[in-house]
Amino acid sequence: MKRFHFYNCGDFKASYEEELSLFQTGLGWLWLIIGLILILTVIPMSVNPPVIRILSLMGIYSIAAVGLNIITGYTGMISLGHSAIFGMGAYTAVILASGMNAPFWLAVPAGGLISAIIGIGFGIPAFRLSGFYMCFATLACQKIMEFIFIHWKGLTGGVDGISLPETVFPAPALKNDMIIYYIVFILLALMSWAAVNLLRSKFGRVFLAIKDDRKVAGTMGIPVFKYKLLSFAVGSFYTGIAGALFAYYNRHISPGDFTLSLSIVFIAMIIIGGIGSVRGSIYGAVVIILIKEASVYGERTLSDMFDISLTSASLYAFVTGLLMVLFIILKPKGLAGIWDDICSAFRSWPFSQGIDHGFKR
Amino acid sequence: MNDLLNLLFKGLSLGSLYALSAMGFVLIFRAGGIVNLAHGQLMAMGAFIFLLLYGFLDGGFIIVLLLTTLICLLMILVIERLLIRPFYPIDMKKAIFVTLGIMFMFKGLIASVSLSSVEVVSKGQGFDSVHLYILAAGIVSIIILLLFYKRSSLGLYIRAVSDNRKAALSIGIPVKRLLTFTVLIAGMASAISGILVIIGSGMNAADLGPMEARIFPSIILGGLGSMTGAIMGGIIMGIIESCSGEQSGPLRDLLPYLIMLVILLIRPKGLLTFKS
Amino acid sequence: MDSRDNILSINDLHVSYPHHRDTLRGVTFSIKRGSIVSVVGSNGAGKTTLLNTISGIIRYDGGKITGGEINFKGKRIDNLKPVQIIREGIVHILEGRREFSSLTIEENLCLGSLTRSGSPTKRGIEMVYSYFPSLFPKKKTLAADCGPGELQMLAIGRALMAQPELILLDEPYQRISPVLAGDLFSAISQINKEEAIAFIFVERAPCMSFQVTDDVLGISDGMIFRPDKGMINSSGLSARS
Repeated sequence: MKRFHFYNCGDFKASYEEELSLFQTGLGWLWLIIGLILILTVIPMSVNPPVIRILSLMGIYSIAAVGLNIITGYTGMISLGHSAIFGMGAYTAVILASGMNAPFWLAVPAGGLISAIIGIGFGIPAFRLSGFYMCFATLACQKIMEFIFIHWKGLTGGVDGISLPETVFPAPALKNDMIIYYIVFILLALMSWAAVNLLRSKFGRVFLAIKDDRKVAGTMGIPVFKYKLLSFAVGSFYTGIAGALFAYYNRHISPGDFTLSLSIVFIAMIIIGGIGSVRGSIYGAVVIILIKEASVYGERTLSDMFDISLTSASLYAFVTGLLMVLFIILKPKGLAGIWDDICSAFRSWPFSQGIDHGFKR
Repeated sequence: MNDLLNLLFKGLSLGSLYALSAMGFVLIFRAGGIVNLAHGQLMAMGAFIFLLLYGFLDGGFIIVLLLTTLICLLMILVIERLLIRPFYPIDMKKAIFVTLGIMFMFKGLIASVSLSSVEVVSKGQGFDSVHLYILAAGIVSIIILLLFYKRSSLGLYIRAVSDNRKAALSIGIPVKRLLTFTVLIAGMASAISGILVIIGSGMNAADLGPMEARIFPSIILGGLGSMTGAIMGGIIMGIIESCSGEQSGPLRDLLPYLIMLVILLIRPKGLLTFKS
Repeated sequence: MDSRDNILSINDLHVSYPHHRDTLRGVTFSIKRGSIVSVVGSNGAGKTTLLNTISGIIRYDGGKITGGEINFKGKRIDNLKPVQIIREGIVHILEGRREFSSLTIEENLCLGSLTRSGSPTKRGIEMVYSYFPSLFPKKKTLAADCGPGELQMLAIGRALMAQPELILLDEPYQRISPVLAGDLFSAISQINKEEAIAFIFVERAPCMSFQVTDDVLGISDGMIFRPDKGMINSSGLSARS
């Protein structure tokens, strides 16, 4: 039985085992368990159905943001095509479920796999490109996928999109939302746990090496291109799963759901949450969904009180864009970085003044 | 035959506008090392403000045009002052995220007013004198911008800074002020090109959305850092778009991006740049 | 202050970089009007930092002056921006010349005079060509197509265009053959005499300039020392103090 202990003053580790452990103290595990119990039992009992739907969407976007963080935050390739990959997962799931009557447990992983394959396709330009060129390449991929979503009418239903058949989850809508909620959060917990561990493994270290300096990584014998593709595959798998879940969540998808704007929203999530942090992806998704809900509220308030007719979409886009710029300029490590700052300031409390927390600008 | 000539002519007039905007992109890229992903959205912003004012103040075309340019100028100045200049120099990756954020802010502004109230002036399919004026305006602007870049002392400073930033500092080029000025000029080029594109397409508000990324294929085709490449790339892309758009409808939305992807795969520095 | 005689005097200068404290610690020296001074030191001794500090470029590298003062013609310049310092009359030629390779020779030269508004650029260019006649036939050539000797001449010419009273030269003989270096140095001493421009050289070894410099200073570990006559020979400083 592990002895339960609190933090010492200062952030230090006495053995390699401590460095390897997920949490420095038992307290971390305690918080994790409390959080899981809250999310899986207490919250579904106590809040009303619309909130359940909002929470589910946060979970779905979180999974997708973790995927993007693997590609952009860890391997350092900016992807503007993430929404197309998300859409690919969604379309795969719906087409499988409606065309072949595939059950849920088959359609969702299939969405992930197909997305991973498409993601590898997105990553092929990385063979000779990096940096902002990669940005343009993924932008082109995104636009091409958008075109396919709209114009391959036989498969995707064109501009109107396609719906899940009524036979999938035939229970009343309220119960469906609960089922989706549980599935999303169990998957989110499992997948972020997997992501944290992946990034602490050999693969994660290789990704970071490629991000920091791909030439040095290459001279160390790392097959850079292979690992770039691997990063795209893993990140796209996550995103595809999220997309498939989104399809089951929304029950209807159309090309308008997977535009370039959503790609930018995904990037905003990881910037606001924290680039290169799995926790950060989740914070970012939560913040973005909150902005989305707040802008719906803001639209109502503005039109009721001041007779200004601003659409919620415009408020959402403007605030998200502004936050993104402010975070990247003022707090490049995002909310996760701010949280780490606060924690380490507390931890080394009487001496926190002089400590350089690593990313002062 | 006549139809083909007509298409080529329309493509040329559209292409000259793409060229103008792409030149602006190259200017910002060279003077500040900033890959401006908001550039396409800036075009849309200019077009949006123009449509908005055109709907409000009916009549005076020239007044609306002047007013739009003035508003765009102020807007670019404010953004540059508040969001870019205080943090310059920022590294390229951060600059990408910043311009992406600015792009999204523009998108929000454009979505804030629904332009359905603006009357859509439909243009005939045949030869249109509007395109002649647009082509003239485009070519004049391109020549002015090119002269500015090649002949004026400010253009010389921009080339010097893009060549060697540290040496430029050591001989006393005010790099920050130069960047402000460049962003203003390039932003104006882009906004004006957006206004002219929307006039050419017959004041169709539905064109604003796709404009967000329409400029990038031209830029990639021409190569990121080259002025002549930008001009050629823009014109070629305009002609391709015009021809594919009239003949086979939806291909217009696909072809530019397909070409862009292929070029990135085979020759990322652009098809039209020959100098190393 | 003896500002009448000294063009530049540095007093107890301390400079730090974020990750490297005390790159310069207590540098004190002064040079006379129209003289040529050579500062000699090994790698990492602080030579380049010293020049960057004088010309103000250090603020773009993240470095900071933590103490001391720099006076130029009796005026404090350590808090001025690089542009203002050039206007005061100090031009810095960076290590490795840093030409603008996509511009022509003449455009490069024109850039040098940008801090002098409405100055007679044409006369300046003619002056440069008179000192470096080999640049004249190449004036329309891109700097990328010129040899290292010409580029160093170009760098000095570009500095002359700003009508300076003091030129800082960072390792001017890098990648130049000894013959070219000899030509270059005779041109420099000619400029020094005719235009009354002072020079500060920074070198690893006082190979060429040693015979003509008015003064040789050593720099080591961020501190200036005055080497004994016996310590200086053509291969550098024989011993560190």
